[in-house]
Amino acid sequence: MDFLTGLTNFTNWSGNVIMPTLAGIFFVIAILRAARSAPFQYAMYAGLMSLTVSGILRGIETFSRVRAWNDPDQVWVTLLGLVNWAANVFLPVYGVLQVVMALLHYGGAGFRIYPGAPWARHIMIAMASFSVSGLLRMAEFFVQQGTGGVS
Amino acid sequence: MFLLAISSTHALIDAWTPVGNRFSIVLGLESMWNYLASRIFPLAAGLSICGAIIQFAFNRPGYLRLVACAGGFLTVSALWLLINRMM
Repeated sequence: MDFLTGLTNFTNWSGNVIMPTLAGIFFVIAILRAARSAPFQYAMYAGLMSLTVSGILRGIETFSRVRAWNDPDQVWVTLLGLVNWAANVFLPVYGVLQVVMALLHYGGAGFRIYPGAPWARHIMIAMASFSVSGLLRMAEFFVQQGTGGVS
Repeated sequence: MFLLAISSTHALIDAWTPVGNRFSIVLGLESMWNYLASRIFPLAAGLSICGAIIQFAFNRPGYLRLVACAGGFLTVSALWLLINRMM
């Protein structure tokens, strides 16, 4: 029983057990807040990040291990890696997401297109009509899978 | 946690000064610095990330400070060398 082992286990327990568990409650909080039209993004993103504690830490470790531990430039290189990642990896992905969001908003998603609108229902019926063979095959697949009974 | 492990901590600190002469304090402090920088601070970085996420979840300020602290914990040796190089 020594302090380093205890601290190591405490860190692992916090990051790999408690935080993924808290992710569930963060999503619950996000849903409840969204239901009340309150800002919910913080809780939602916190839920996602709670599942990636180890990944975030490994990311920072990767940024800080480009140079040797006794290289004074390690601090600068760490910051440089973070800036490069933010500018060259994160922002392009974020840009793609923004394009998708722009297209969705241009199409009226959320205010002109919403579940329950008569024309949306007709669209769904049309899609089902076009894929009736697939639906039939899917039903057959379910029946075939169910012939063996519930195991 | 610290109190439960106080005997092993004593043994650890005792092992840092094996000779017991006039340089023992220097050796002990140097070993303590190495122990903090290489063992404790990387673990503190992980806990900082957990704290930053919890701060962020409740929309409280200070989470970026904790993220920066995690980076600092992981580069503490380089920070010390950098300051030494600047002097």
